[in-house]
Amino acid sequence: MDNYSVIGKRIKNRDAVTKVTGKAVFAADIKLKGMLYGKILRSKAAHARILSIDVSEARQLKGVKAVITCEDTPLIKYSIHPLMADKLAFEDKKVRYIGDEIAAVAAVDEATAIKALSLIKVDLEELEGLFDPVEAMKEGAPKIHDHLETNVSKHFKMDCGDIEQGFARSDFIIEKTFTTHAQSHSSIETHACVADCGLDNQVTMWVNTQAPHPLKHRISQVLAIEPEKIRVIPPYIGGGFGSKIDLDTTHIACVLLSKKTGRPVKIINTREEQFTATRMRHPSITELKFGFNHDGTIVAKQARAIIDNGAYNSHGPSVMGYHNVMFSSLYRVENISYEGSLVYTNKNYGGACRGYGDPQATFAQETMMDMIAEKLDMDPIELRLKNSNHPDEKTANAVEITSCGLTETLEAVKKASNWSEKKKTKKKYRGLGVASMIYTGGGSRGSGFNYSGATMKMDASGTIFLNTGATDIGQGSNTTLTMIAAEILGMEPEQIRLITSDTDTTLPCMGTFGSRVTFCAGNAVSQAALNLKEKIIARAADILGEPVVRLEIKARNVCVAQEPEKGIAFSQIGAVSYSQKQEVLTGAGYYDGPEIAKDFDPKSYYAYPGPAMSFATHLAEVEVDPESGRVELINFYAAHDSGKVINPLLAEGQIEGGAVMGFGWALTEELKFENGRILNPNFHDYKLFSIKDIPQITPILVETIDPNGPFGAKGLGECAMVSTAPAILNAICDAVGVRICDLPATSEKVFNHIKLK
Amino acid sequence: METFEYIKPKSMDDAMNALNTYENAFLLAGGTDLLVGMKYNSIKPECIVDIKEIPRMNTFEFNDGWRFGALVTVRDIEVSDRLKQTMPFLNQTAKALGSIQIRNRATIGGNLSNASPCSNFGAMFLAMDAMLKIISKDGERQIALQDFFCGPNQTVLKKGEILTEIRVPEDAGKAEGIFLKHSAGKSNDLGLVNIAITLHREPGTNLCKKITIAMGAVAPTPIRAKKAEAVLNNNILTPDLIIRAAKKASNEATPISDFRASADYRRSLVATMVAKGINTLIKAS
Amino acid sequence: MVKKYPVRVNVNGDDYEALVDPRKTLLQFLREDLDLTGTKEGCDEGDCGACSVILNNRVVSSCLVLAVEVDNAVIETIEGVKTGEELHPVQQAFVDSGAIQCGFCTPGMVITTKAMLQEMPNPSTKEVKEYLAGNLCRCTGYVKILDAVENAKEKLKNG
Repeated sequence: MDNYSVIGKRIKNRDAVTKVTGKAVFAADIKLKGMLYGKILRSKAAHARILSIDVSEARQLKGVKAVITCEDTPLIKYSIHPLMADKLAFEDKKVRYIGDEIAAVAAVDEATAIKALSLIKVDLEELEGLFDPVEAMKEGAPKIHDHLETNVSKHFKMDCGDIEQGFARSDFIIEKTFTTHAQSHSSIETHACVADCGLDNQVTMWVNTQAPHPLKHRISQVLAIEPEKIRVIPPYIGGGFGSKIDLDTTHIACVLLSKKTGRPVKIINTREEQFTATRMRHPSITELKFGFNHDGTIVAKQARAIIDNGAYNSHGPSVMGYHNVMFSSLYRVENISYEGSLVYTNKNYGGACRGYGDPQATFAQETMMDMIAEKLDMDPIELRLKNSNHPDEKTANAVEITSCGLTETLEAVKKASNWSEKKKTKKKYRGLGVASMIYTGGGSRGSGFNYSGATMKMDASGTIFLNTGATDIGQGSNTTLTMIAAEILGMEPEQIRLITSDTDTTLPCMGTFGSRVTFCAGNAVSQAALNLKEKIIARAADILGEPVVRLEIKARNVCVAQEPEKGIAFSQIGAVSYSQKQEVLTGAGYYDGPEIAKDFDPKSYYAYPGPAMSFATHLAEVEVDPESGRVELINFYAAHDSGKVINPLLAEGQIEGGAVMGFGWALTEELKFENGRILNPNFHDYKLFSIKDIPQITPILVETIDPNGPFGAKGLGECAMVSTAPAILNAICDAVGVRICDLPATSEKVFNHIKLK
Repeated sequence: METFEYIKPKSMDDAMNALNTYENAFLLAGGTDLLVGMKYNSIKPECIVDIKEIPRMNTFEFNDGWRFGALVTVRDIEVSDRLKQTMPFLNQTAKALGSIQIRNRATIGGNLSNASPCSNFGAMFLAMDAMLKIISKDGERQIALQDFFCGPNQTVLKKGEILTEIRVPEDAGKAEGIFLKHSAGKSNDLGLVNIAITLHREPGTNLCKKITIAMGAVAPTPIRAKKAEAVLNNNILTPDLIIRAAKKASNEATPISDFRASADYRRSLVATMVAKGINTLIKAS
Repeated sequence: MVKKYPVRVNVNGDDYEALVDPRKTLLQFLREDLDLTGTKEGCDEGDCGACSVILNNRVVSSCLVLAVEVDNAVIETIEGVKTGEELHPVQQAFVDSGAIQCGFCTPGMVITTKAMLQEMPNPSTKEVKEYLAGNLCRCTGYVKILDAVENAKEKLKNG
């Protein structure tokens, strides 16, 4: 057993008291003197050529201070992938989905801004809309982006081993097509931004972003403003789930409107805008072919995927890369073939969404695994154990597995759910289903970078400061990162003053995504804390005249081993350093790993440079009402290998929240489209799970120690929903014998499947 | 949203005056439908007449049958012990409507006047043969709820008229009853299908003296399943008969297909829920 | 000029007088006119519960109430929940149980829980789920919110 004083403890969220009293300031709460309100005019057509935009009448409306269109921008396209940039802040020639930005207005109040939008005259020539990626791929289909040859934004093929030989050697082959649908991130806080920009071109932005440092650079690029003139300050952030990573037109509009008027401008998305004009989970079609033997060994697996990109790239290209990596890395399979196409359509575009392509891949693969188990009359858990990944292995697609608790997660849910007993005494309409997953536990250098920086200092009073570029969007990194620092510096986390996210006062951090903050920012903080610790001890050694090796830190004192009465307090060390040595003790930490392998393919993500892989197994127990098709979740078990768990209270919260987001994706949440228009852009028709819908949820933390993680930790946030849906759908199949391969399993769909049986 | 006059009359007469002064006046009770309509610009009032301070409209009592003021909130119905003892199906109907935040504001008069095809009280009161009292400056009139709805969000209420009371005949209070809703999730959802049933039986037997079945969200307005009722009235409620009646009800439904559910599925649900409702009532005793 | 209407209202024990635009919702009035930004806007159409406040002893969605309607009313918002320098037991329970992640739904969740425990001091889990069903949370999966309510029940019983 390890002997930590802080790590592994159920420490309360550092921000909880501020939040529970209503004092936490979110972006929408910010009110600056002279502030104007901005609104964005969005396309009502799914695909159209812009013939003209007339803003003259809107400009004349009393109370309107500025109206901007593409003419007011440098027309620089952007995307998460610089080489595949395809989005303008305001489109100039065409609109490509219902919601595409055309113009923006700043006015003295919101009502005036809304009124002004209605006075902008946009003359559009409607074009044929493409809403189905399969149609969009056909030869002769109208082009959505005129500068490209086809509507396929990205295509790649990856082969490992020999797929044809693999199939030839297999005792059995199963083929099946799986489809998944659009999910909305649905953070309860919508996108909001306040920008204040003076005539000196200095820009300050308060934005609910998951990635403030990259946002600063993207704003700098698309508006051609020097980065040193931009400051991004994230206030408290009301959840993100991937939706708040991108640069968004709201940000650009806010800055431009503020520049034009010389006054602060605030833009807040309505809930409807949040649904119709921010990112969503990419829909997908995945054809699988699996070859396997009598004993359950998977010999060969092949996937052909179409990812529905929507109108623009955003994260699409790397989401498809992840779709491949996670599909290919789960289980030990020697012969793998993957071919993927990322296809433009005239719909909302996909973005990063908790799991980043992995839920789509895992739904397909883990349903297939149950079909194989059924074919072989083999226990689904045994089948997975048979093919499980193991530590210190390299997968066929060259992913390094540094630590792996997949087997342990399978065994944990089996035991906790009483699987064997329940399987033997199966009740009518009740079913159990299981699904496993692999995901990165620390971001990746797929884009070339995976950086996080941190600095620590001791001030003249001995107070310890942590400055980190990491951004807490609710997951609790403010708490876990101070815990890491506190453990190293032998103090309590709440004794550390914390400064985060502000691009002026923290070192760059890529941001909160890719389940990377605990791992990457944690490593940076750990290094910064170790550096500072070394300096504190050295200074104490100097003052005390003792050798460094005899000194240790205890409760903000540096003590001499075995002589507890001999020691010096942090306050004295700080004071001496400051007044006598004219020095502030600091420590810096920086992480940007892992090494990128020579054979890394940035297109397919072969030899994916993820620093550590996390694993999990979910197990669902359901009851199905055959007369209505309603699926009732009874029990849910989620065992996660996230390395060493820094804070179990917060980790459980991630697992529970992720599982419930997965329940929604599996059963009730679906953005429904008609000719590119979203029919349910509100919470009464887009059904999140409520407190009334949740079953008993049992989170299980299977700890491994990752050699490269801070204290052995790996990431967790996104993993929490990746294998939820297939576990539930496998349970439905166990309950009523219907195999549903297209998500979501609404009660109507389940009912229809039962009827057709 | 364009601005509007706001008037909060203290008496029915003042309310009438306000309603007749403005071309496009809307009544405000709980506001849970009105405000949403205004935000979506589907309702553009010239004047809002807030009727919450008009006396005697937020009470309900038994006096020769039940009288419910139109301003009684859904929550009042939900938590009423008196109703729990006499007509628990009304508590049930209330509980199935929206969130606590909505139920605390929404009124039963508003629920009827808004005339949503999936109105909970539309279906339940229809099954209870409720009568409505409607007041205008020319006096009052009584009509059966059966004749009140004319389409989605449309009623026979004329300009200047206010629905003030819902009356339920005495014998409806002596019936057994049930309200069932099927929706996508468990909370706050609009029903894909609502079923309201009241049943009078010969004491101690399964002989159906009178049954009423109302259905919501399966036609332009809440409707009664009269043919299904006819199958059951004055008959012993056997499993076969119940299935026959449930199928009849399903055929009486004329649902639409929309993104929430297909017409076929809604019809299947009607049959399932009608049978389930009747069986639940029989088993309960 | 838009005609405005006088409103006198007691919020968290303090009396306010204001002239309000009739289009303004109670939510906007609290946030913009009174600077009580603890009450959050999540959907502005009564679907999410983030804007919950207690109006004349009943929890309501403040986005579905017009400010002009609350003349002479008594309102409690999240800012009025703590008692003196102490957290209210419901707040303390949310902190202790790990029921807070991003915190955006938290004010509405706390207000609704407080209203519930005022009405029924000892609700069953089923009753709790019933009462809180209109308060959406995307982060926590609700498990620790249920823990917090149990915890708050105990704290209030013993306090």
